Amino acid sequence: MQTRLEKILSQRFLLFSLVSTGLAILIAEYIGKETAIVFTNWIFVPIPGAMLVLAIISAKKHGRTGDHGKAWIAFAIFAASWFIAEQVWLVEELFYHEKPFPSAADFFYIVGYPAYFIFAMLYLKPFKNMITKKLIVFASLVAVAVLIPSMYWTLESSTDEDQFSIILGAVYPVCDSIVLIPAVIGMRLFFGGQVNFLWALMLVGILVEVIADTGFQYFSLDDSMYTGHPVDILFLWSYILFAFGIYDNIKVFNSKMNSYKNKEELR
Amino acid sequence: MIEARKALVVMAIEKTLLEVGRPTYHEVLTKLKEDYNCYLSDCYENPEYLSNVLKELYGQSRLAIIASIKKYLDELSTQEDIANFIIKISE
Repeated sequence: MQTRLEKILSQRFLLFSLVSTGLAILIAEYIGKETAIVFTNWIFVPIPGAMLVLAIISAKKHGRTGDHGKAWIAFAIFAASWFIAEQVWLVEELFYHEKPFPSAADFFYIVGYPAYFIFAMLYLKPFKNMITKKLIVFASLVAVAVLIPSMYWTLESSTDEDQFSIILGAVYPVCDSIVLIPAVIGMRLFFGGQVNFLWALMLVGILVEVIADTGFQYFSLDDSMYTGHPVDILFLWSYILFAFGIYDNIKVFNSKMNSYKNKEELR
Repeated sequence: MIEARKALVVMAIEKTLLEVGRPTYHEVLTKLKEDYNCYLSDCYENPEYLSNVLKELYGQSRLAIIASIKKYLDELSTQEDIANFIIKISE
């Protein structure tokens, strides 16, 4: 079992990761726009990469058995999809010198959402008896409350963009709000349990993602959005929050089964 | 007869935990051993141990897992010892 000290240390490391990532982007931005573009594009390799590696470890650990096993496979697909999206973005911008939004990267970002939603559904499935209508309504209201201002800013501020970019820009807050529903349910459902930390970070991660997507669209209005813009700190933070959530979950289920010579004895 | 019912209880717990996931099953077994020095088969006499371990992992949502175990034992719930097990594990 994870001790209280380990938990505090893990949270301090999380805080350190968030602060250092934010500072690194701000320093790159301070040096110059070109530096910020190059640095930020490259930092989107290790951070989403770490999330992908942890997701694969978790999926491998759980195997294909049980609802949680299938859930982590879905999460690994989500992580892979977003990792590919980030790399497509990098290649488009740094190697082909094309505008990365809209681009093929959007396909992979959007494909990731259903995979994440399936993950959440499968994870919550064994606990479906505890999911009341009241809880679903509450989670939906939270999602709508988050969606309304986000959609307002997205649509209101997109007048200069082409129709396709406006629609694409609006798809993200909608998808974020949909995946926010199971995150709110998970957070409420596992309150007091060890798996709660995973869901707390998932919830905060998605909320940060909503703000980032809204900010992205808002600053795209006057073409002031570029890779390395402070809004990108929020995108990186959501990856870090997800990664720490998975890491904590791996630790929770890091049973010392292997230390028992005869596993059958434990039955 | 008691041994047979005990085996059925263990099977119901195992099946339920494996439906959640193998790591959940392993974690519960390990915690039972480490926290209470008991095995899954001991949960028949001490259902509160299992309930506490599940609470530690999943909080109040453990009741959903317990409901699933109860469902597997539904047909045997008229037996006094099974009924007692169900009452104790639900507390």
